[in-house]
Amino acid sequence: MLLDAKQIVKEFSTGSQHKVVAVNEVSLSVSPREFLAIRGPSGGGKSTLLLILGGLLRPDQGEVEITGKNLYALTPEKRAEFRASEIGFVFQQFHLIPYLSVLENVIAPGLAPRSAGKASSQAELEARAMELLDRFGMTSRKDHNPGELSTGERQRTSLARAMLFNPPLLLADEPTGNLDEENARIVLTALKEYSAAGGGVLLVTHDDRASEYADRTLLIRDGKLES
Amino acid sequence: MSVWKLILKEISHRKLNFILSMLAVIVAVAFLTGATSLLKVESTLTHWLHDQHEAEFKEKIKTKEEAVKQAGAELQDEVRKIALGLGFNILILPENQDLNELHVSGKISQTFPEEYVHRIAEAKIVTINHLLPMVTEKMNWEEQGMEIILTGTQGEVPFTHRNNKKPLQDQVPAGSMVLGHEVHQQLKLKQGDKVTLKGKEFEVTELYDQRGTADDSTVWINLKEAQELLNRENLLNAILALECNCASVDRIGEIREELSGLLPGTKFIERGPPALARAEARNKAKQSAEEALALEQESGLALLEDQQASRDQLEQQLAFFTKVLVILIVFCATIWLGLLTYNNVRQRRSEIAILRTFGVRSYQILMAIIGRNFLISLAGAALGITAGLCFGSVSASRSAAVLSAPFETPFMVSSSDVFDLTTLCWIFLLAPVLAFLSGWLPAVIASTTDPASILQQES
Repeated sequence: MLLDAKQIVKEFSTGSQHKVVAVNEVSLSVSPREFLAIRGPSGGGKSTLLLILGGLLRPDQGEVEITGKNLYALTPEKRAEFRASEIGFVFQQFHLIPYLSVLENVIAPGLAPRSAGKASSQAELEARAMELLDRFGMTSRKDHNPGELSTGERQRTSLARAMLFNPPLLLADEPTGNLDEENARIVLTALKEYSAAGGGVLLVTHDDRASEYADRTLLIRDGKLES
Repeated sequence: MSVWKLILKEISHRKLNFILSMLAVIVAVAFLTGATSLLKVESTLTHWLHDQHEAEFKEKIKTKEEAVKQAGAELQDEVRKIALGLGFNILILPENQDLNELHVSGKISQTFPEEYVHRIAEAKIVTINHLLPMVTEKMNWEEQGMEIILTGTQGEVPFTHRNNKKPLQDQVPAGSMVLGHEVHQQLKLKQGDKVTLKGKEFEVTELYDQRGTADDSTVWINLKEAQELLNRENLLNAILALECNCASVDRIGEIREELSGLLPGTKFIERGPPALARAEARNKAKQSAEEALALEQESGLALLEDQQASRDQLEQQLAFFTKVLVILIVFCATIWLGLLTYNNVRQRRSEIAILRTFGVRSYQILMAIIGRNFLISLAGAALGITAGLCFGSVSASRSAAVLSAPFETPFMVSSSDVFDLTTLCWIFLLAPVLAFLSGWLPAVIASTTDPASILQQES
């Protein structure tokens, strides 16, 4: 099993005594070569669940194992190192660094220290980045800054960045939320192909089209998963 | 991709923040450098001014000393002349000379050997400066039909044991005659006239102005010729002792003590109180001049000390206010830089969150923020030091030009007066410390930011 989450609970305080349960006893798993889509309305707990599964937000209860490692048993530094090599992220807002070129944005995760044996040289990173940019039709835009790109191009850049180290697990948060039909199709196809190539993909979205590409679709409502 | 490349890219992207941040460092460093330079120049200038005032004062005192010395010499010369004009200062007479005869008729009838004058001259006498041997006789100048005082004089007999002083009275050469005022007026004689006295011919060589004393009725001829005319070969009626170096007012007593063993059968009288009064006045004038000089010297030194103390105090006050101002400016610049860094961190929240999501460590984020400030501080320090030195040099040159204007040699500001390398190194090192302090808190905030909360807010 690539990702195995058990009984995840996450609550947020909104007042002195009032608490909101964002994720309520969620258990799920993702296997290699699997494209899992979690659909649900806005505020249903999708993004919170994704952050927990990505090792960015500690749950109040439950465990998250990725490639057999309990994420929240690791120290923050070890967890960061694990995240750098094992998980790729794609966000609705792209989160590209505005002053770096497309190519530099793609290789930006190379800043993070990586565990021994997984380190890559600058040349290797650039070669891999160029390969991904070529795949997403972004070669001619490699020296442009994000401000000069269309939203579709930005998301494709973000996708290439997430795939730089070919992580076993790819987590995508509403990647098509800001995109037109054509660009949404490109992104979803790329995710499908990624899972087909051996990676596990977990996509949270409210986009109905995702179900067409996903191997499995779950529904989340008020923090609870429904099949 | 490296953290440094990230820093440089970010700086080129957010130029305004970078320029404003660098400006904070430039202002702080420029003030610090400029103030240090100014204080250094001020201190050097203060010492230079003090040296100039001191040199000027010493020169003034030297000039005054010379003036006092010259005035003293002129006074002495003048008094000497006056003393001579008045007649005798000390008169050495034969012991049996009737003083009443001298005072009533101006006649000295007794004699002592001429050898006495040589005896005094060869002895180590310190109380007398000049010796004038003489023979004198009140007589009727038969050829002219006039009562005169005939005086034969040799001029000064030099002391053999000391350097000769300027002779007081030139010797009357043989065959010459010097006439007192009444004599040449009544006889209507002039220089170059030939006259006879007791059958011997003389040429009038000098005519004295009126002195208001017995000198006006005196005729001077050469001592030897007078001795022959008066039948007093190798004899003297008196010796004039002039310019006595007496420490006390008891001049006679001092001279008597020194000469009594040397000249048996002699006695001494002083010629009139005006001579004594003038001798005392001379001493007093000299003493007053010396006292005035000493007073001026003392007050001048006090003035110099006051000036130095006042400049020292001014320097200390300037240093204090400069320190306060510099501390205030450095503090404000640090706060300013801190706020700009914090603003920069806020602008980069999303970027920091995504980098943390990728696994970039907190120390790398810390390094990116502090490193940026470090570069700002180095660039700012270089520019600030340059600006501070320019400001310091220009201000120092202006200040030096104004303050040194009254002096002949202007104070030239050299580079070593404006700065020293060690201080500049310290200032250059201070800038990164300032940048570190101002950037530390924002950097810690950035490095400990929870990426999940930012991503949640932005999703």
